[in-house]
Amino acid sequence: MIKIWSMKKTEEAAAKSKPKTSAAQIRVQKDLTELELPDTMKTHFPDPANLLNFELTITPDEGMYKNATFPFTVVISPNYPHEAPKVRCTKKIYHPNLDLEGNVCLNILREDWKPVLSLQSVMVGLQYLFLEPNPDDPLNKEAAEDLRRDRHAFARNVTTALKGGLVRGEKYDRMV
Amino acid sequence: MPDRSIISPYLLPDPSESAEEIAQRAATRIAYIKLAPEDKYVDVDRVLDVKGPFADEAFQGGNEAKQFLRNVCKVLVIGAGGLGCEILQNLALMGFNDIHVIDMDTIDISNLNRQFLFRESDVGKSKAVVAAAFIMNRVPGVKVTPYHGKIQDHDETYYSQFQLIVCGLDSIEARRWINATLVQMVDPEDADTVKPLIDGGTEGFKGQARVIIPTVTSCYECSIDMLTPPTTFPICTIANTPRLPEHCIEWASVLEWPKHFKDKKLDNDDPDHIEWLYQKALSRAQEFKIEGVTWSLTQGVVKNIIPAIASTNAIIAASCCNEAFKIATTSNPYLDNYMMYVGNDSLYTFTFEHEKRPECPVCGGETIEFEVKKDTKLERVVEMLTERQDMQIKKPSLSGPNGPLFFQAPKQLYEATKANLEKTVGEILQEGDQLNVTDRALPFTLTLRIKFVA
Amino acid sequence: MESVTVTEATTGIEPIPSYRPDEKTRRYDRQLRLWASAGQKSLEQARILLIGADATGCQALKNLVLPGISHFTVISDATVRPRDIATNFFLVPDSMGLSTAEETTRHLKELNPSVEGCSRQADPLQLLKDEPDFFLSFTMILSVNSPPELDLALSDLIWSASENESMTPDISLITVRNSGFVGKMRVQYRQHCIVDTHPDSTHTLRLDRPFQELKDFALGLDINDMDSMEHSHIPYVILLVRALERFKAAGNAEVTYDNMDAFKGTLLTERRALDEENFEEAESQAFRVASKTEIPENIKALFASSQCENVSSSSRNFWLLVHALKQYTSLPQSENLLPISASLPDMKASTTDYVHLQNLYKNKANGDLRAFKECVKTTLSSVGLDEDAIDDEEVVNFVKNCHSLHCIDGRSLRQEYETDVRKELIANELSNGMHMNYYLGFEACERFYTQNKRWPISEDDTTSIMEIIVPPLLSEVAGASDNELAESAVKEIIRGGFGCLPTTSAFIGGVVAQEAIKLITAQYVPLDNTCIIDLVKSTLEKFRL
Repeated sequence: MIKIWSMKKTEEAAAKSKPKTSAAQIRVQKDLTELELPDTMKTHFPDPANLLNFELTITPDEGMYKNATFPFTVVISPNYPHEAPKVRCTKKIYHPNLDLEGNVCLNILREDWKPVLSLQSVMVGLQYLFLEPNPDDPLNKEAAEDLRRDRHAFARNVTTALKGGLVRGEKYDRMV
Repeated sequence: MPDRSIISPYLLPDPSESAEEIAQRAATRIAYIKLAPEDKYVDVDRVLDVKGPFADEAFQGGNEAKQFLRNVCKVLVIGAGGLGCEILQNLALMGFNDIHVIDMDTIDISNLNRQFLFRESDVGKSKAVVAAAFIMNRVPGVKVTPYHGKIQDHDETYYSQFQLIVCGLDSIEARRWINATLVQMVDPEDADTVKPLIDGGTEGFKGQARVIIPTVTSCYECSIDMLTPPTTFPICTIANTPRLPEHCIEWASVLEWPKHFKDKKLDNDDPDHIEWLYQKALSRAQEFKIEGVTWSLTQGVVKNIIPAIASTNAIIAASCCNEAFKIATTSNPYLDNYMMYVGNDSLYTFTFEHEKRPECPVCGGETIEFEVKKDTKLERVVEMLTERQDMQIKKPSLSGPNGPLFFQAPKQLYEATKANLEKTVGEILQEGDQLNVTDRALPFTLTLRIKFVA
Repeated sequence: MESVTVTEATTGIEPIPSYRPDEKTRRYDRQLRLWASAGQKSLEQARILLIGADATGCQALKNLVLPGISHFTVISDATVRPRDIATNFFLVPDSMGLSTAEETTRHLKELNPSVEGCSRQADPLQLLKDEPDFFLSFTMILSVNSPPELDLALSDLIWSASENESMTPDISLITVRNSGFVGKMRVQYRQHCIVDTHPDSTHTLRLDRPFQELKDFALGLDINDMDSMEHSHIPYVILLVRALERFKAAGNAEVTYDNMDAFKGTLLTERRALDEENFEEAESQAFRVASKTEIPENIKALFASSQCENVSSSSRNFWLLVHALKQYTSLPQSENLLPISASLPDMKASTTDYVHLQNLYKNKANGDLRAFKECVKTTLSSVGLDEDAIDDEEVVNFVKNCHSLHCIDGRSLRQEYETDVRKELIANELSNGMHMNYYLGFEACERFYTQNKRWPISEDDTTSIMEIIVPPLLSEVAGASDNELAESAVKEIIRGGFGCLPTTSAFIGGVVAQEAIKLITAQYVPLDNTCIIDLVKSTLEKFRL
């Protein structure tokens, strides 16, 4: 294998330090530029040069959460896609699968994440939570219980909460 | 009293040694260094002087190989931990005389069951610095240059000074970074830019060693899907239906810690932090009648501790250095390209060729020398790409060294970058810059290496 | 909330005594996660003898001193030469001309202050004649690159020392030879019994024949009254037990792989929504209902052995316990099965259901354990031992691992050379890659050594081996006279000059230490019994010779 090296050291090439793109960044570029988002979802990059940190808003056009806008932060680690992106809701929302700190319970964000999934899958999954909240694997137990017990009462609670009202003694952020 | 530094910069004085003893030791050391190589290196020289039945056709043996090994070849060792200590020892004994080592960590007491260049009195010191000093003191004639810091602190100029890189890391992220860096450095016109990367890893009684010849063999990124993703549990399980002690520990670290400490980051190495998590997890476990939360499990889950023993590190590091030696001397064919060692149920090895993945974002795809005039507008570059029949590109997005140049989507990035279309290539790029092109029609990335023409 | 310090916050919560690990536990943390305190205790009682203080021997010992054996002794009558310093990390220029045993011991001891190290400057072969008992005071002997006659003499001594019924002391002997890029290692023990083999899974759910309490719980659930959350959290174990009952009630005798689809159909009749994950889990685990719970073949083989049959007061604990286990399986309450395992895999379930289910298995396992303990007492008294001659911890650990017990009957070096076992193996393997050829190559070189009192190193030596030694060896062991691969093997071995290439030494040192640890801790399955290491191709192969 010595043959691939010349025996005497060549003069060091003039320093031409090129900041290079990491595999994670290339993958994110591919994911982002191939996103096919419905009008209900928008991305916002506080720093357009930094693709690894951005905001996502979801404005469902149907279901109980219709017409409110829900903001999320998406943080992508340098180990993407080996590790899932980290998603957090920045507002306090009355929802069975979101807790009061903004944690989201979505399988593909944790135990079911695979490198073949993409940002598109994550976003679609998030939106689905607003169309079909899942009361059986709750993060907000009270909200889930309300939904299981009485879908209509739950819907009324959603409306109250989205207006910034109190539900079960908890004050939620105004979203409409 | 002799000036200790003059005796030998590499000799580590023992605190109990008198000046005379040090002087004596230095003298024996010098005498040993001055011995003729054929009196010392008998055993390594055998395989360099005698051609074996499997050696490469190109094997010249003898002095050429020895000269390269001992006086030319500069090796970089990444990581001075469990594998790193062993790698440094082996390289030094095999005759690699110019070794550099990088590690950002300091020595912890839990390292001492396998990182044999460290002693209790070294706890808290830089791994790279202590390991380098130990090797130079123990193996006369070897120069080991330590760097206490991150691999990302260095650029391609730094990495291009080495002929070989041997990696003993526990971080996937660091491996991906060095792999991508070395692949990127390859200039097809210049064989010297190909830096073989030999990578080792262990877990318990198992481990693997592999040889990556950047752009020639499969690279680290090609096999990223083979890795088991980190163990995670559903957040709702952690929050509401814990069943395992691990669920209680994750509850404490993922949900409770940020609630209590807001923006204060959890430090896995701070025993007070682990204590807090342990107590939280334990009381939750008791509440739910779950057994098995211990301090050790808490630490293991939070730090994602991988069991590690000296013997497995010895096997894998030896394999890595054996490959380094074979590559440097052509004394035997090198590993093509992956060996797994499994020692927990009797023992076996599985040696195979891991194949290159055409769509690998690092070594896959294509790199095209892109000749362009400085006054060409970026818009024209985009058109030129879509005009290429062989690619079927329809809506390419481009990024350069400093981020997005032109993105078709999402909308905000399109708006933010579309002004670049009107700019000339000369305004926004430099000679040698690499552009990453993605497009739905491309299963991989296309890289354009910019070359200005008149 | 203002940011608070961790200490402040910690003082706020209920004071629980801290279980922070002590310094020793911290030092050994990364290995305790593999072999736990039981394994560590065995290591800390192990006394290792190293014969042959070359690079390979010292690397092996290094990997045993680090994890904390009790004691090691290095024997060698050699003095240090420059070439030793160049390959052995545990020698320095100052060692030149001094005793190799003493110098390597000094440097190896630095690796772990809690390990005791001694050296003896002596000719091991002579010592073997003068003081055989000295060798029998160790747990394990590593004989590295020793003359063939020494290996054989050691093997004979140790083998005959454990000829008695209890096979004690069963000292393991690891012999190693290496040259250049290739090496060979062999492990000898009379018999190695392992309770904790670290199998991938220890669960025995017994879903094909659920025990009464499990059945009662499963069938007693009123699942119609459950809300959607409760329903989607019924553990799959329960779902499968219920499905099995319905399936049988519909006239099926049992679930087999043939009627699996019908069984799954029955299972899914209780499903309410397509996305109920617990039903997905149940479907994917349905095969467990079709896999018949019975005594595993490897355990039946242990039951059938004469050591299980004919226990006596001098039997090893392992065999007394196996005997008791066999007695246990003939009790009516055992249903001719081994004691059930208390462990339950994680599954989609509410905390209460999971904990309840876990307790059902635990209680059942405890009941089995009580019955087994009675069998142990009976066994012990039947051979005239105290009822509590085996301590409780050992009995509990045995039951916990009773599904994956493992026992290997070893072979001595003399048996390897003097019986026909190897002939067939060699004949079959010679054309099957390099490994068996290296084995043969080493043997040819050993014969050369015996004749010439030196190792072959030159081209002339190669020629003489190929012409004089190899042909009769080949016809003797393989019934062949010619083999091209054998010639390559001999050439590659002799190329190494019977010296230590540091990477080869380090590799073999690692393999030897792994096997030594497995033998000492009696955890994990060790090599049985020979391994050829080919670092030309980076492969290894094992043979039972």
